[in-house]
Amino acid sequence: MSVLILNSLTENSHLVEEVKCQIGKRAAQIDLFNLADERIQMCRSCDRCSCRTPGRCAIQDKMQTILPLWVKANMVVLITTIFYGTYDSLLKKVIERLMPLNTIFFTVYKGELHHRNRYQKTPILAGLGVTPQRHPDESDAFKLLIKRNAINLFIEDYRAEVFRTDEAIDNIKVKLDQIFSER
Amino acid sequence: MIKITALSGSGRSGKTNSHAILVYLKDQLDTKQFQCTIFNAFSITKNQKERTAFERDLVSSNLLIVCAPVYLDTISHSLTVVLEKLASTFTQRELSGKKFLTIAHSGYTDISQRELIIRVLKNFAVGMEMRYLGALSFGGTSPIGGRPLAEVGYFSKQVRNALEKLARHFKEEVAIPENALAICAKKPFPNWFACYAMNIVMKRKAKTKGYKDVLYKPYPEAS
Repeated sequence: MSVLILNSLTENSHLVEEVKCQIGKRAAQIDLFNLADERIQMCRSCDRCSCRTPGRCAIQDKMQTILPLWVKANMVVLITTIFYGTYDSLLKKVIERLMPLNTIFFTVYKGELHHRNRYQKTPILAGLGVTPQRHPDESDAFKLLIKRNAINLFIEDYRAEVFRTDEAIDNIKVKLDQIFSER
Repeated sequence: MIKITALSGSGRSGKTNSHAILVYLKDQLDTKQFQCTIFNAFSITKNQKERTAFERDLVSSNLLIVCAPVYLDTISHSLTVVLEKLASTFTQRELSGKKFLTIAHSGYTDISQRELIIRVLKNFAVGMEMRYLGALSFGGTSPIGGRPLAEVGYFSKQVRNALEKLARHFKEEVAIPENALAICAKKPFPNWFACYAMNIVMKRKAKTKGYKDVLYKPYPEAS
């Protein structure tokens, strides 16, 4: 099993260390990117990935490494601080760069209109959000975001979990074990 | 005089659908009664002067309108950056009591695809102790293509109708009128039609521009 981890947390290393530890028991290959340390530009909406260079992003930065790993991965883990229910800007920038995974054509999927996906196989999506508890709805909104992104990326198997900034390490272990266990 | 700060949440600058929607709304407002200034999230993230101007305008305004396109189910990266900066720069007290109104829009027609963006912006407004007034939500806005709404014709009719009704009810104690919300609840066209029409447009685009193998898979898939 190959796992891609995209981490936008700059603190809370307990969670990231525990994710690495738990996945290490299950996966043969782990690729971890600490997004704060990577040079990643924002999407230019240039449309090249859909037409001129289908499936490839025109911007030459770390996404050239991340995109093939996303396609190859059996599981993608997103780790972020929750900002009122959405990703923080570091991770959001990467999510917007996933456009090459879609084609220019459309289809109706789960009753909604979507761009057709380029690849048949899709990874399991696990969204791990750390909540500073700014708003009572942000945890539920984050779980909805992971569900919505899974639909948008044609992912059938998705999981989402929310952690408090001061979550006890034992709780983190239990929650991650549930997230990463086989279903 | 009621002062309005309008923020286009697009991830691009220039002629965007969000900008076109805000310009149309601004044009509908009585200039004697309202002063509306439009800012662009992308420009704010790239230009410190623009950020300062936006923050100054916001401090003295009564209402913040955020017009946000759906970027992969949620607000754009640019808008996320702007809101993160607002949350870190301003104390809740500084924004407390200011009114907040959302205009969400997407090329996709389903209301479910705009649900989260409305929730995130509401959470932000409430979290910053602003007075949340509600949201207008439009689907099927791709045909606007950044053009002035009046030029778009049939495909912007629903948006224009709702904005006109909103502007007519725009008083200090503004609430989104029921008839504007009713317009937003209507799907502009069924999914099968949008899918069929858009695929024809995309096939033509690929053919006329000579794009080959648009379904190409450059990377090996998971085993």
